[in-house]
Amino acid sequence: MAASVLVVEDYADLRSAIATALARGHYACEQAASSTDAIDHLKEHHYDAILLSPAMPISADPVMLFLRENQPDELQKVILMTDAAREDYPTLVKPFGNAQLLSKLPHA
Amino acid sequence: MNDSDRSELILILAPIGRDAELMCDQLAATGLQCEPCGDVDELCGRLPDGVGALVLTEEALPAPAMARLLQTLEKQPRWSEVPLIILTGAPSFDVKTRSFDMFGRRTNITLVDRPVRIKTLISAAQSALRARQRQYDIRDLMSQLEERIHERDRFLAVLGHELRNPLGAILLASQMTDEDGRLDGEHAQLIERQSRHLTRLVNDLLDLSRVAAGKITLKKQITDLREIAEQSIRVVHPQADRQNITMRFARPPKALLVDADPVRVEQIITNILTNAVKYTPEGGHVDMSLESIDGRAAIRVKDDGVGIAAERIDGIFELFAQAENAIGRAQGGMGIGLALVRNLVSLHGGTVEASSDGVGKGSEFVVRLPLAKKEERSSPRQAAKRKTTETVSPGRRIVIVEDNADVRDLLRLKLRRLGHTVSDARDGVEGVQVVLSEKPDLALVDLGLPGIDGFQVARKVREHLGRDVVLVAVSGFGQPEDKRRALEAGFDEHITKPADVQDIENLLRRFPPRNASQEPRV
Repeated sequence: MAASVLVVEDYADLRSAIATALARGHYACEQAASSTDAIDHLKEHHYDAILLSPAMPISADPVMLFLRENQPDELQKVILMTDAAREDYPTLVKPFGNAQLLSKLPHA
Repeated sequence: MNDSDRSELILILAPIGRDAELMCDQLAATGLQCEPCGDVDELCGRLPDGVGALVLTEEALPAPAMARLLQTLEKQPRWSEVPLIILTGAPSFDVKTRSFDMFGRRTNITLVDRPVRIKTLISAAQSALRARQRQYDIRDLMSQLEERIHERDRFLAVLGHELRNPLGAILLASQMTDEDGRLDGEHAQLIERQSRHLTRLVNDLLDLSRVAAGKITLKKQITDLREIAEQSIRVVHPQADRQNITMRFARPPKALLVDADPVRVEQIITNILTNAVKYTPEGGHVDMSLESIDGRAAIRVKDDGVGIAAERIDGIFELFAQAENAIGRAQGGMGIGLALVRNLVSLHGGTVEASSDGVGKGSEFVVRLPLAKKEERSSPRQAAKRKTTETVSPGRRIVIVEDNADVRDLLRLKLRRLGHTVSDARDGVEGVQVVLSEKPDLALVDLGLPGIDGFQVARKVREHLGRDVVLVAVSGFGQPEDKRRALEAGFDEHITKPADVQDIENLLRRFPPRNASQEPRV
């Protein structure tokens, strides 16, 4: 079974580009355009990876807050898409290309 | 030390006898603010509240007092160097214990020997206060600069953030080539779309900085706002379509002329429309209308989108006002557009306002620009036109009402190539609308139109425009009877099909512009 990824990104064209890149990399991908959307998805499914473009500061991001309170074990699946590298979570620094994206994900 | 204070209070430390009070009285008599202090601790305690200068007698500063004073002075902020006036020459004071060298070059000190002439004391005090005022000036300037630097840092951070999303999309999409190295249309379009978005961002940014630096010059000319409004709509339409948003424009029948830079006005309207589309969810509406009120042209853009909260309305035209908003982020935007709009509108001597009934209740933006004055409408081109009625003047306005698409297209192309402005219509009903709104010099009307026929078109046009438009009937029948019928119906002339360009040029020559003050088309 293909590894599943939830992409949480509000910038439409970027979200669709990531989704296509993931599909080509043989990942099963679902998209969320907003925090609320993402939380709805997370309530229904578990994912092998959660690609999240977070609000700043991260501690105030609704998706992170939801996970911390309801699915703390899922926090380790989070990969942040941000402007700068971080030490607390695996990060993809925007803009990133296909190879970088796939390198951060668990194997398909 | 109070950062916005510009205290000119002089504190005097002369604890022996009534010296302090005496000096205070003398200084106060000249209008200077003055107060005595009992001891060095009191003096040091009052320094943080803001002080203009200090007057001290040397006997008030034995070593421990001096040390205490020095310690307090060390704690001043970098801009501050309270001036000291030290009165020396006390008969009982031991010269050996004088220790002003401790101050070194770190402090503004004036030594005044006693007995002190009041003139000298006052002069020293005024000089000290003048130096203090300059320090306050520096403090305030530094604080403004710091604020500007912080603003710029915030700006750069937002800029960096806003560039990364479009670039991210472009990078990924550009790597989606197939095995043959080809990129499919959808990805190519994404790259183009995001590249254009980045271009607009960069252009808006540059414009904003040029406006701020006073480097934008307007190339003003008499312009019909209707044309610019339509051009702006064309630019914004694709994005509106993608979001299923209906854009409506009520084009007024009369020209709305302003003396303005058409490129900049288009930038103004496009930015407002883009903003409206950005903040309106799927299926919403954006309506634009133009009108003339009180000598000004008003451009109104109304949307039924997310609206603006009352507390945010006042700052809506500030840079970054929108960057905090989730929807703004989703579409990508730094809130530059509205800041630029305000600047450009103001350069034109106009005003722009935003209003909203609140969150979820849509918003309305109104730009007001001064109308072109009547005298300005008659341009040098008009004078040239009047002189050359023998030859066909370029730039005549023509409407073609013809249901045969090929005929219509061909004629339109040929006439445009000759420099005429051509609009067309494919049936009688549309024909009447177009003639009434365009008010052309000449309209060619096919008599055999579907719906209402050419004769009815002529009647309706005459009803509303009188003889201001030259109406030419075109039909396949060339008998005198046909010509008579046409003239009776209100036409000025009748020609047989196929109407060619030469016929039309002849007609234009025969019928020079009726209305000498007709507005030139820009």
